[in-house]
Amino acid sequence: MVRIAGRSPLVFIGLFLAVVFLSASCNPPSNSNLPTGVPTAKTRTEQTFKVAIAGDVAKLNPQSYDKHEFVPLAMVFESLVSYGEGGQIRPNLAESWQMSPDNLTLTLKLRSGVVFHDGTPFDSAAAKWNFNRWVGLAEHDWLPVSTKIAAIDTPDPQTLVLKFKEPYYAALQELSLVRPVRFLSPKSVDAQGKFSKPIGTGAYKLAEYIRDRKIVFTRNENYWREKPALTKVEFDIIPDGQTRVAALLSKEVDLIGGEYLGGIPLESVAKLQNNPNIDVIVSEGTTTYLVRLNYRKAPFDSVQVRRALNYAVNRNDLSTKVFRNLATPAKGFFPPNIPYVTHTNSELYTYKPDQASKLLAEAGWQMGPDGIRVKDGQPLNLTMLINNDLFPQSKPMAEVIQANFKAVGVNLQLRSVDSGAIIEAIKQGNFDMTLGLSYGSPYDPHSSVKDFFASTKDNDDRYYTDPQLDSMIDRVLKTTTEAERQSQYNQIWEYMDEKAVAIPVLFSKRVYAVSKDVKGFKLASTEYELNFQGVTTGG
Amino acid sequence: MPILRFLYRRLLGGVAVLLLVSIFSFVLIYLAPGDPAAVILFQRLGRIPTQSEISRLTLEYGFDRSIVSQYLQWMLRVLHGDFGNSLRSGEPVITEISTRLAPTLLLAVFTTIFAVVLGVPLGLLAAVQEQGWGDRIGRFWAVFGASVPDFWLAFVLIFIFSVYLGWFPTHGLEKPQDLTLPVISLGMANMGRLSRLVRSQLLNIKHQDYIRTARSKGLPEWLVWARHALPNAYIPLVTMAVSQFSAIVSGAVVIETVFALPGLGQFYVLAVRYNDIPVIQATVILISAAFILMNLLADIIYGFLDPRLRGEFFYE
Repeated sequence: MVRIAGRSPLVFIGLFLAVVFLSASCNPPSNSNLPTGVPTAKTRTEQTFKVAIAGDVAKLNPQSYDKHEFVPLAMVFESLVSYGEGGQIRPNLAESWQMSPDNLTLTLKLRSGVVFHDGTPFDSAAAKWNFNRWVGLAEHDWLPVSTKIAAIDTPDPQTLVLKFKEPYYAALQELSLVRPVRFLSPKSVDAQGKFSKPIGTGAYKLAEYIRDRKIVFTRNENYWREKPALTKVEFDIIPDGQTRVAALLSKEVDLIGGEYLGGIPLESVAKLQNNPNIDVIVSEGTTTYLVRLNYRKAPFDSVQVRRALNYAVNRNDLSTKVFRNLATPAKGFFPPNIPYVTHTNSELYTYKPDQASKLLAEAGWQMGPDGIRVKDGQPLNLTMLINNDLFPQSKPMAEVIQANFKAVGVNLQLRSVDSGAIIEAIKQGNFDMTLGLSYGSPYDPHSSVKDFFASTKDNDDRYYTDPQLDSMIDRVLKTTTEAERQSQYNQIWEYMDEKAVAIPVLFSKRVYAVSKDVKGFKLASTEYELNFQGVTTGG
Repeated sequence: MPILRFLYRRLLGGVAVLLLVSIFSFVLIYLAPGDPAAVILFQRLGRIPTQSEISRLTLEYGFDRSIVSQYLQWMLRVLHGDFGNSLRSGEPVITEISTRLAPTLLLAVFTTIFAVVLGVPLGLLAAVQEQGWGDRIGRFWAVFGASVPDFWLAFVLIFIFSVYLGWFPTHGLEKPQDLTLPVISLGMANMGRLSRLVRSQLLNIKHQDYIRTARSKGLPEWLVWARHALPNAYIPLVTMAVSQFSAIVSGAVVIETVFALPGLGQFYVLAVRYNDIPVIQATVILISAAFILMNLLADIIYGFLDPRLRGEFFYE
């Protein structure tokens, strides 16, 4: 093979010449609709920033849902308030706000002089029109605030009053989301009120869209805040992770990475870190990788078993071997950069296989002759359903957990299934274990707590529920002071740990790689946005 | 005209095949585990959908009706030329497919040309210099081409020609030259198989009486090969080239994904993941139609290449 490898570049070049000759001599069919544009020379004032994105966007409608749209949507559309580091709520399109003492009336002062890209002023009427596009509608009822707003008043063009049915502390946090709460120009819909064009108030507006290829944004010259230096931001659609890395190395794009733009293959990160032309930015993430236990079914209905399995998982191994240190061992259900989570109020389970064995024995699972625990003649055989659509490391993660469980006498089988099968299994309660991921900022902690651990009518996709936890969650969502909220959350974290309601495994990290030609790039406070303020490119 | 009758019969058979394929693919989609509405929502939202979200979508897309009634309704609309709208994008399926057809067809055409133009001479060289240098080089390339996975070759090419030399883009399709690396990655295996086929055919022919006759009447060696040996290897060559072409049209999925070519293969895989039933159905029919037409084309080419095979057209 050495001989072949030595020779191959020459032969490749020969082949390449043949193909260039071929493609030059054969004209493509005229209906191929391939643009044959020549790249235009960059002028000095023009600054283009190119970003790789894994999938195409749909229509950039802020009130619809499509996987890859978050970052582009957030460039065009803005929210009343923004989500800062650690969950601080900051003014954005709303300059200031005031909550009434009974926590039922939120009065927001809107910034004056803000216009949409089409010149329509952003005032309370436009804001109300937008609220009516999602508040109380079934399609958006996954978002609690959409079910809590009772009325929207507009006493004057700069004042917006939201009346709530009951106190809901996370209302402002949810108003910072990317969708469906951001503001669309009332003129960008057709006669039936159906969305037609993405027109917002953001720093960028859509300039060009070529299906499956690229999405180009140009700077909004009338932006109400300091304009970013980048005049053009281009998204190149590149589905494959390795190709995104290659595109960064060949300077076809300036930035890759991010949960919603398309992750960097873990094995490429070290290579990029050693590359003198690339900066790799790694920072603590806000999501948690969890193992879901079917708490309604034996043996997971026993809290001892759930605790034992928590002790059995070697989180350090998962972090180093599977994630190459691009995730950190989980110390609780949520990482400490999530509001109301501190380093001290949620730290219980670490790797203690002896403790795991002891608890399993206490629960009646005695070690059998073949190394698998037995209770009432039944061996401790469990199955984990794996699906790669949620995150690509599912399989290697499950394999480490399988080995960890083996060491304490639990026989874990792994079964890869498609997303339809896994959803059905979860909804019907017909599974032992699966992997999952918490939502992260700006949704947490209340969204994951509510969606994973509070019962509903169907109650069919919860990680764990019980009446006591239900009432605790209900109480915390209605709290009116910070101190009260913190103490409620402390109790919730403690209770969740005590009941071992799932196995938190790893805290994610945010990974981006950016060309050294780019100056001043900083991560936004959430994975759903890019921060363009202060960014400049070499060209 | 017998040839028209032949075409008519073959096309009629083709329509029957398409009908069966459409039923088969519809049934397969519904046999897949899980609620189709739940899968669509899971892909859209990136989380497990709530029961009310699922029921709403089930009603909206009519998944609550029986599979027979859903199929018949779909068929009825197709007969009126309406393939419906993509569940993922809401755009008409016809528009969605037609914009992705060109990259895939270009890829298929260039890859087939690449494979034939390089594979046939390589096979010929190997046969002429049996056990000699030509044979060794030919065999090396054939085995190399056929055994190296296309995606691996694709990344090697990207790193040499895009990242280090900067001659080609790593991804995308702006101008025809951008297809160079995808065509090489995909064409190597086809080229290898074609050259092996040509070689083995020619080695059989090499010892035939008519070759000895051609030599003995004093024809120059190149003319013996070009006029008497090679034409006899055309039929299997056409069969293989046509089937390779159809295979690329039906799914150069990996290569399209690696090079971010906005083609049919990538689109189809996404449709399957999203449970985008109208798109899956339309693409399956399109691909089957391509196979049927390409096979028909091959049969017609046989007739031109080999008079003995024209019987079917003219003497029925």
